[in-house]
Amino acid sequence: MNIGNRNPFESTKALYFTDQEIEDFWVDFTDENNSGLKNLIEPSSPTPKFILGGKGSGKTHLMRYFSSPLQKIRRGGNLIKELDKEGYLGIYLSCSGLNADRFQGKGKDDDFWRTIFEHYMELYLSQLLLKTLDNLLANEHELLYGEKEICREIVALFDRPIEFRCSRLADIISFLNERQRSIDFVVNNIAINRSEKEVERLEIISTRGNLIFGIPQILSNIMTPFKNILFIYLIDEFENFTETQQKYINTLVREVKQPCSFRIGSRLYGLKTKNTYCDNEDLKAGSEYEKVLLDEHLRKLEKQYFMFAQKLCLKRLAQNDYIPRNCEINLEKFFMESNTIDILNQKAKGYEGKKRKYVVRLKDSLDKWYRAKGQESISAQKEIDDIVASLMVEGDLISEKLNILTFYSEWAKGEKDLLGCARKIHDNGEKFQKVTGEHFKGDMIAQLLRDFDKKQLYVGLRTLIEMSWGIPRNLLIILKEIYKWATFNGERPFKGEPITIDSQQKGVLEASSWFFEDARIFSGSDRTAIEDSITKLATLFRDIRYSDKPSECSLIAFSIDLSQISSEARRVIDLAEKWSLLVKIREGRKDKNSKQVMSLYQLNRMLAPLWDLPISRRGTINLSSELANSIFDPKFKGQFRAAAKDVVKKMIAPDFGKRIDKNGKDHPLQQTLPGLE
Amino acid sequence: MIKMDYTIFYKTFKDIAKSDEQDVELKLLFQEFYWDLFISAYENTERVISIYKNVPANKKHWLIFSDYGYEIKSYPEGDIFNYETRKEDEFILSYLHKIDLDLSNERICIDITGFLRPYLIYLIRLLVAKKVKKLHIIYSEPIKYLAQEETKFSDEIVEEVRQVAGCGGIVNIDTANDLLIIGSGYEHTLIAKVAEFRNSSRKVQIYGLPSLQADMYQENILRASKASEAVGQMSMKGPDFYYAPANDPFVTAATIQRIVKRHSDFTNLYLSPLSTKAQTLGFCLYYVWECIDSNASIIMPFCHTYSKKTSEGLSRICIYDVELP
Repeated sequence: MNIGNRNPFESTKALYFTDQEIEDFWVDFTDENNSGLKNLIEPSSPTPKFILGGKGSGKTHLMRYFSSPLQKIRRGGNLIKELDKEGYLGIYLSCSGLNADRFQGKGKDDDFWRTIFEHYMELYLSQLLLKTLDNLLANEHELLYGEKEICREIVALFDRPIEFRCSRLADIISFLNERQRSIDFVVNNIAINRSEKEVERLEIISTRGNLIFGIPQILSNIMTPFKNILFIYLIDEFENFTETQQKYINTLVREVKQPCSFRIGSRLYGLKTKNTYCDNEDLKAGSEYEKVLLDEHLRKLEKQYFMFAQKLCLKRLAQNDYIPRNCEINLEKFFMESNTIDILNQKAKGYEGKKRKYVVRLKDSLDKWYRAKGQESISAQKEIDDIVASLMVEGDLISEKLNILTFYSEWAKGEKDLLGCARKIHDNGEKFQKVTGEHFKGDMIAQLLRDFDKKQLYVGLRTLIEMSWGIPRNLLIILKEIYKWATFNGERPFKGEPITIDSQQKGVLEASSWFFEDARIFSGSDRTAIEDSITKLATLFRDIRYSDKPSECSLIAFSIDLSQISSEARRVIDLAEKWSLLVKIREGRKDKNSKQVMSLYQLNRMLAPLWDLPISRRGTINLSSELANSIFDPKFKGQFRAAAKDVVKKMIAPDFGKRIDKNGKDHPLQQTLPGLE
Repeated sequence: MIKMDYTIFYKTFKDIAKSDEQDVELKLLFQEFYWDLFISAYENTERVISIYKNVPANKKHWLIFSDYGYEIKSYPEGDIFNYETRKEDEFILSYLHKIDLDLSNERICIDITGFLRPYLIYLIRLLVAKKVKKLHIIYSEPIKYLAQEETKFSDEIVEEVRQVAGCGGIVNIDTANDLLIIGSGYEHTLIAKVAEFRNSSRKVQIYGLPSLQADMYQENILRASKASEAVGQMSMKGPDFYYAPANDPFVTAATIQRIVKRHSDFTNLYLSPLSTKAQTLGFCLYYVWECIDSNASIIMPFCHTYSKKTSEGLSRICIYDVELP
């Protein structure tokens, strides 16, 4: 076996792959209905589909997999004879290849460019289809019986009779190509000389849809292999079209004729309009098209995604000769897992009981509380020592933290007999720890790591896959960075020894930083607004997580009544969702007081390491409109610090948001923000 | 495509000492030249202003691009041409229409130092269409960039990535082997944006080496490497990297020629000069000599705003004798 030296996860984009590599790296997975990714595309269904997904969700890989070159590979090079088994023919187009941005400006109006662009698309798509056909029929001489008739029929599709020598498909392709090139020439030269002479030479020879739908109909009627075959135009990177250009494609979707259909791939933010040129009506979801949210689909199938992700990694490792092909290996063994408890206990040896930071904080808080009550005597000091001693658990840091958390909770509720409370916790320790631990154990471990100056742990294959959260490319980037760090650290990743925790940590942080930076770069003029919002939101989550008494466990999500916040805040939330920095949890959440269905959002797991947040969601906080505006609307950003402080102080001892007078009475420090309990 | 030998072009480099005698030095340098028309793009830097002041020309024109956001009160003295538009073709066409000259009969000199790249590229392309055969181009090098590798030349908020007007190509519908050549400068966000725009293309980068100043190469590499995920390169030392002097457009053009020859099976060629103006000129020369009406185009990221002042001092002047087809 040749042990590879290349980073097996270096290539993270399907666009770089050759057709053979698309086939080689293809991994499907099945859901509980035993259907896989093929069912998302549904190549036998005539209903057009829009396939939307975040960056790296696998759209291009999926769409290219269903294109004719890959069909041909799968059929051993003999697609034409087995086309009836396929049931469809996929014609792939990447919108970025058209350089569609040039069809605007240059002293010409929108109507001019619309006409030119529509005709250009007609020529472009027709060429792709005919080239595909020509390729399929090469060396299939017995199938060329209908070629002359096909050519005749295609020529008849033009708006007016055109004389040119045409007996073979290659002649038609050449003719269409020449027309397309003349448009390229004119479009380019308008920018130089604004001359009308060149423009006048352009001639629109075909009405919208005539060739795109007409040619498949002709093929279906004349050539036996194409009878009952669906011709699917796979239009990828749709976000690269302008709104007007998308409107044109939408119109084709509405006007689609048998035996054609469309599968249109776009980023989440990529759909600029649903409008069509058919009386300016919008496309109707459900009847005229279906929408597939690819990463949402993958996120829902957690178990299946985990299996899929493992298979993906196995393929990569096998392709790069790290492991034998077609072998089942438990990949988790390649990644060192953390034994957090051991790490903490090891670290704790340097911090004798009372010197631990959380213990010091507890004592300071108690001290402040007693002073506020006017009790500064030696007896108060003794009481503090007794409280602390009651909560300590020898040799078990987590139980200790849970005890303290329970104590803080009771204290925040207004418990006055703190010593009695501490003793009760001591006497019923296990019971309290079980209840609190069920929810807050993960957060307490996180707090302990922080207190002992250790980094939060995002290690182990399972965690890495969870972090990628339905986006295969995110996983590949995480693994790519981990591999780089492991190699830099002198390790031999995937060659026997598990990758160290340190390399995994560094790689994960690198990948998280890239994820955030990438979204910021590509969000254009909204970059600052999105960056600030996410930073503020994540900081709030972090402050809550590491407070004395977090209000929610494993906090990485919030609920919000979108109708109550400013339009700009709504827009920024929408953008953050489109750039996958926030993920909308579809099921929503009923507010326990108002019974309204609130929208529920979660911070993308890829961002968790940047702010030491959990990956898994449990609790959520409800954002008031004021707090939400201060986070998401730049106009209110100056109010964020005070608003966030108002939330977090309820979780900080000894005040927990209240002022205590010498009589031991509590007074709220500030009015509670509406919507916050 | 024509195969051009870029080594035949002349260039003059003159180091300028930082002293009170700078104007005298510049006058001495320019004494063997005289131009009918001198065009400079206004930038509030010593190197641009002192050249404008000392260049011997019958007519001297300042072009003021609204992208810089200069207020009228800070406009320089002299003949000023400014238009509200941020489209390179509209601006330059308006300017040429206003001056109404037969450029093919004028001795022209352009200081490209302050130019924004799309305007520079379009202007050169238009001069070709106007049958200008020869001109001088000046490029001046700073002593240093104000924030070293953290220097921001723009806000790096990219509004769009598109072809420069007039520099489009004939599209080959087979895109399997598209090639993108990037002149990689400091602005990694721009590199990433262009790389993503041409997602499926194979990418090759040209770095400026020798750089303008000794430490600028490392600064360049540090910044450009942040775009590595978008570019998708395998290795810093692999065949996806080439080097050309940061101040030599002719070697840059020759380097592009070499790259294209190596990847001669490309389906569509995209050129994106994101480094120095001198290298941008090199990209442009390659395009006008070898790519017009072919399947090659120049693409650029267009930013929200551009920095008014990014450098200080004047360390060297380069004068290029440029010939156009």
